[in-house]
Amino acid sequence: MKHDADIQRAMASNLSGLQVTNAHKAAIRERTREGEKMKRKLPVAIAFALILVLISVTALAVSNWEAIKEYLKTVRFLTYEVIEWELEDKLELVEAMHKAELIEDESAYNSLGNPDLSAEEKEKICDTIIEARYGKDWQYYGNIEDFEWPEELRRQSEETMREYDMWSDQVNDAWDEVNPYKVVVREGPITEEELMQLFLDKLETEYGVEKESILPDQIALKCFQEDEVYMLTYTVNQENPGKYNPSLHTKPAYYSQPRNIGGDLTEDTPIPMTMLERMAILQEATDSYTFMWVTDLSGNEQSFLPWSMEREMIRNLSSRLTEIENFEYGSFDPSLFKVWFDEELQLWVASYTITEENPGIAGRTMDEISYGEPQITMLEYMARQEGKKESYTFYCYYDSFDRIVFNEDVGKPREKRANYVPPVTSSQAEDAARKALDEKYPITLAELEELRASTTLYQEMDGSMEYYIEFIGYEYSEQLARIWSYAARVNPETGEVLAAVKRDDWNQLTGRKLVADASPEMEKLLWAHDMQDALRRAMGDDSGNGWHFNWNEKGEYFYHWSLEEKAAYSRKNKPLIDQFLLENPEYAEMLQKRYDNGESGFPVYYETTRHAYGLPDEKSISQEKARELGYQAILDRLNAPKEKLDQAWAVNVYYDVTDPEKPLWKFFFNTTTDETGPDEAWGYFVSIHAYSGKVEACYERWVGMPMIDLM
Amino acid sequence: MDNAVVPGVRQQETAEERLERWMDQYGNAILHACFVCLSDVQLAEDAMQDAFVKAWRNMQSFENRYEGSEKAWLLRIAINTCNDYRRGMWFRRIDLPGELDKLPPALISVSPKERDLFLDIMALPGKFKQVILLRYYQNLTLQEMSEVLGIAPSTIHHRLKKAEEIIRRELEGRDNVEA
Repeated sequence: MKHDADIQRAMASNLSGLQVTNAHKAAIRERTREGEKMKRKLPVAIAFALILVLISVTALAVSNWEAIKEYLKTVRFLTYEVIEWELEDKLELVEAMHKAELIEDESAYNSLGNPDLSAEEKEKICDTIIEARYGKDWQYYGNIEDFEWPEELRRQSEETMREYDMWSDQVNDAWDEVNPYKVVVREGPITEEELMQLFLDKLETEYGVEKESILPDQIALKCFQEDEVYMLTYTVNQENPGKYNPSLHTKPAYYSQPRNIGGDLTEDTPIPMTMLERMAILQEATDSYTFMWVTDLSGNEQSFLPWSMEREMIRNLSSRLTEIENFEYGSFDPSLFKVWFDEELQLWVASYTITEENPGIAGRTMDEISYGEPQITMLEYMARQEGKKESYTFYCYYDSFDRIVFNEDVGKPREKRANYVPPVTSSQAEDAARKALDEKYPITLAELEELRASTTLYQEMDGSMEYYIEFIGYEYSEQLARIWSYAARVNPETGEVLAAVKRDDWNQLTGRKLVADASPEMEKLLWAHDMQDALRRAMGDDSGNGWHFNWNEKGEYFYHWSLEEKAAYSRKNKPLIDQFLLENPEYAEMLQKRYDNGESGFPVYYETTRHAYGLPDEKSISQEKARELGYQAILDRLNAPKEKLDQAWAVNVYYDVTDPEKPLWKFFFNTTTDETGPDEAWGYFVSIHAYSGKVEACYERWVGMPMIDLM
Repeated sequence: MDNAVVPGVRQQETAEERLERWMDQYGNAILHACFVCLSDVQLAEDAMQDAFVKAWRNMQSFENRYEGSEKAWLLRIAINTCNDYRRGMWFRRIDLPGELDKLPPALISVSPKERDLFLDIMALPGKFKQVILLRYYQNLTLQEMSEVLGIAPSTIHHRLKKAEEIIRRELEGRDNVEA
């Protein structure tokens, strides 16, 4: 190909910065040490014998090429590791092997027909049959085609080569026909902006939605990479009802003009309606409506779905199942969704049921991904969580189509009942809960008293009542604002503690809504937590742990980085956070207010981008000189004990170029130790004019001082 | 783990030493392959680690049975791992230019043309992206690619032709616009 060199260069240059670091290597070493024992070695003689067996198997197959063609056609596109296969994949391979007469132990194959066998037993038999021919872990060493019809044999003569190539092309063409590669025609590939524009045009011409009336949060665009589709949605609700211009509508706007009882128009001019009003006439009246448009990656329409209540609930539930429960979207069987109105609860209910017949696609938790456990089906996953049952149903309960009242994996709704007066007061229930937690966990009653108690009374499905109590703590670690809690369920009739757990162990029994409802202050804290997340995302960090942003390759935290690292970080991230705060003034105001109030514990992304950092220029005094001046100023001005200053375990240095005319050398002498009391200075900070050497600021660090003032 | 001496060409190499050598010698290649497959730095780093741990677990069977190159074997494990990761990524929207921005700063300067071409490659469907990666970046032969991907060389050839055709169309389209 004439562009070989271009491709190579493009890949090499773009990927050149992505390097395996010492931290990566250390993580791998750690994982190999953690119980990842190497398999026992096979003696060399046995290994050699194994190779001989494989060769003989291959030779046997080669003599039967005509018979094996059909087999290879079937298995040619089987990929991925066998360990990841579903039972039906293995059965497919075994069936193909049987047809090609490649199974030596026919009794094993015949036993698969036994209807009493469990799925596990069938899988075991399949594994035995497959491994008998190809050995264990064959997927690491080659493919079935190479085993059965190896390269050296298929190239043994011109005739065989030709025959094989012809056969191969035919198989590939046939495969393409049945499973066409979804190649995107990229003659002017559509951008997301262009696609959005098409959607807006469509809404305007077909539904009379004026583009100008659409607010950004009413429109959403998602790209489903694997299915190669875009999904765009437009939602109207009470807050954003959308304008409606009947003159733009392609169909007569029958209901936009008042008519008399005989159906005659009573006004000549159409009366403008909002989109919400329009939809309320066309569809069932409700709080909001969503239009959904699905296209391929080139913007060709695949479907356009104006709103329907049932579809919206199903979409909502399936979205929850894919995002939270690890279902794959393509795995859903539409017939297993159900939507109905529960008269007793006065709620809409959407459900999805998995059974042995429809076990749901494999799903895994993040831990399982991290530790490389085999993939399991959703049915198996649920069996681990809930105990083995024949089926599991996932429910969502709605009081309108887009507002989930409650949902649980396999659960029942719980709602508040206003008129119930419990014999056990909430305060008594809280005491009982504290006592139970104190006995179960290494936390004292006094410590539990310090935590905010949030108590809510619920009604169970069977009509019984229950207190749900949460003792909530809130703290900032260096990287993240963290909310943590202990929780308990208490019987309000008897005061019996039904369960007492650390929230981490609660296994998602409580949702965010529950917590937020319980306490306005908690909501504020959650809001702060959201802000931290938003800041992180503004910097493009989807990892969730900020590792790349606040730690360098040597495992050092931001404060300890070199001037070059801080300058590079600042150059890249400060503009992003500044822009974010400009666009989200509510966050900016809240942070400023907190700073003005002398609070500490700001999100780390905020702290590290309040000042611009750079590198000293030729006019600057040297770092050594500046540090010397700063050291002396701390001794002279603050009367700091020299011994204490000399024993500072870290001296963090910054070159602040927030004001380019007045760059500053900044030093923080961190003298905090385990023995440092709350009434002592925790360190000393000094800033020096980088050009003149003048001391600009010099102060002690006290408990609660924001890091912004120390960097 | 015991300090097992692995039989084979490097008689004095223990399993730990081999792992170290693999990480030094092939670490970047594996990491780059994972990024090309997953278009996500964080996921690529995770997949790379998983791949080495899997390789460690299967080191003995590799030693006993595998006749191809170490690199091809490691790439195969890495690509299998990525394929598996991709199953769980369905709902995630991939913003390619955004993901490229997250790459650490390049050590070699990248021209706008090279960036566009790289974006084209990254935008290819997974099957095509993999063959381009292995052929043009990892410089593997068809037979080695077959070992890595676990599919027949003729199929690889077929995919490679299609992938090249798409890229050629992109490149020529751009050249025409520039002309």
